[in-house]
Amino acid sequence: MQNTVPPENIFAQVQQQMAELFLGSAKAYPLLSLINKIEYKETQNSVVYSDVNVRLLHYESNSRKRNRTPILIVYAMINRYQILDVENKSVIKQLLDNGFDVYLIDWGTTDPNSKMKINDYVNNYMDKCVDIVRNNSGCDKVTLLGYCMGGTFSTIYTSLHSEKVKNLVTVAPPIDSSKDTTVFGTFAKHLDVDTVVDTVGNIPPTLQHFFFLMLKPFKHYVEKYNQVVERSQDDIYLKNFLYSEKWLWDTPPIPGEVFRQWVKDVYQKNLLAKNRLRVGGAHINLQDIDTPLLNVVAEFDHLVSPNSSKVLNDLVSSKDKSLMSFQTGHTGLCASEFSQKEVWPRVIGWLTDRSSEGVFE
Amino acid sequence: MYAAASKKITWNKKSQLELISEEKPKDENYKKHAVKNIGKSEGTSVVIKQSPNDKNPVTRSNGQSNSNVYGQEEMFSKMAICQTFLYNAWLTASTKAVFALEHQGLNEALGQKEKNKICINIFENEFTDLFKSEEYQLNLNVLICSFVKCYGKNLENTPLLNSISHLFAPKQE
Repeated sequence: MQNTVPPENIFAQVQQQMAELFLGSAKAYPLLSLINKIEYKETQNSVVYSDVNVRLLHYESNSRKRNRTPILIVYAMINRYQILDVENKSVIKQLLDNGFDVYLIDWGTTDPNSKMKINDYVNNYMDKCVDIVRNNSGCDKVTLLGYCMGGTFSTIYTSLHSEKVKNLVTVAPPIDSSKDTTVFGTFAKHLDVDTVVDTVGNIPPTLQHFFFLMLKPFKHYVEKYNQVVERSQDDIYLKNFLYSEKWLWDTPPIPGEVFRQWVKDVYQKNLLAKNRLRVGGAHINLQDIDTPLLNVVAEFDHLVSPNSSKVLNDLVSSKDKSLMSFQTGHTGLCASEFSQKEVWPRVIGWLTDRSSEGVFE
Repeated sequence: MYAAASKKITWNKKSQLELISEEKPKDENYKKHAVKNIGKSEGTSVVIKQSPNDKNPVTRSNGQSNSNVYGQEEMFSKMAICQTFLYNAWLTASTKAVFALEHQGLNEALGQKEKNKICINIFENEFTDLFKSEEYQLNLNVLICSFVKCYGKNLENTPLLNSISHLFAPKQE
């Protein structure tokens, strides 16, 4: 088909089109005020331990057939754990329905004056939570399931306390920053984190939102909001949208000292992958991990490059190790219809095979 | 702004940075001018050059602290540089979008949604490439550090970040 429109006109059309898209996205802002009316609907749980900085939640399985080895979910310190418990797409509910007792660490909202480092979270809080789960369940070992930053924390923990970990499941964990080609990876490698943390302390949500703005600016801040305006009459769509927006913007401050070590040691110096990371004086050697490992990655992950995560399988000494790679994005691994149908059934299958001792009716 | 970017610009001597672009015809109509480059599908290219003798650590650091050099001057200087990068990415994406629509020869036949999709993808890719570039991130790092040094713990109350939070993140009641 012969094009008859002069390029000058097409250029003007593009500018007009982009202007209209921006104006269209602005129409979504009034809808965003509805976020305040959205409440997280969580699967029933009980708090079995709480501190100023952490809560340990227990979700008890009602399934008749249960696996004895409990799962302890370690969530990231960015955003909140409720993304794992979205109505009709809940990872936690799926685990419960398949007979697992689930525990979850909620990092809560950091104390404004917190000076806690990765060591405090891994060797104090995580270790305390693991001991509580072991005690509650009567099992010597637990399954650790870490998401994103929580996956890295779980990896570090397992290298130090492998005697308490039966299985390690990591979901999109940042491990080798030399293989990370994401915007955040590039940003972190160039950030003068000392100046930022020395000046502001904990990383406030607003500053995090500024970082997020760089991740997918046109898809997340223009296209998405145009779509919701178009479909604002669809109650179910709108409800799901508002729920995910609430989660997206509801991020607690990141503890400043954790952020400092995370950026410097994990991203800039790549110490974890080089087996040179030190946490609380202890040397982290990933070869000390010999527990069964399942590493789950997303091929379209824009936050953590899949290659940065995949390398974990080469660095541990576990004989039983698996890698599952899915054609989805970072949050698509845990809060999507795809993850419900494709990701978690396979993860549960892997876990069931390794948690079958002591199955009882 | 495009007219300014098409000339050789030298910032203050302290930063020793030069913003140089390709030679541009002195065309006041930036739309027409940009369209002239469509055939190349490259858009414009702005290069930030740094003198080899430049000892300024700010643009050379990879996460190294240079807290003594962060101030208002650096903040506005880097803001200008980052804005130029952003503007250039916009222009490049625009010319690529024109090329894509023209190349397909379907721009009349395409529906508005398809056109939007094409544009969004092209703009997204162009800006993502920019945000992954070392040049941009080095300048952004200094901008952010200068910004936090200037506003300190009052970050949440700065007009820039406040405007973002009002737009995108309604305060929780």
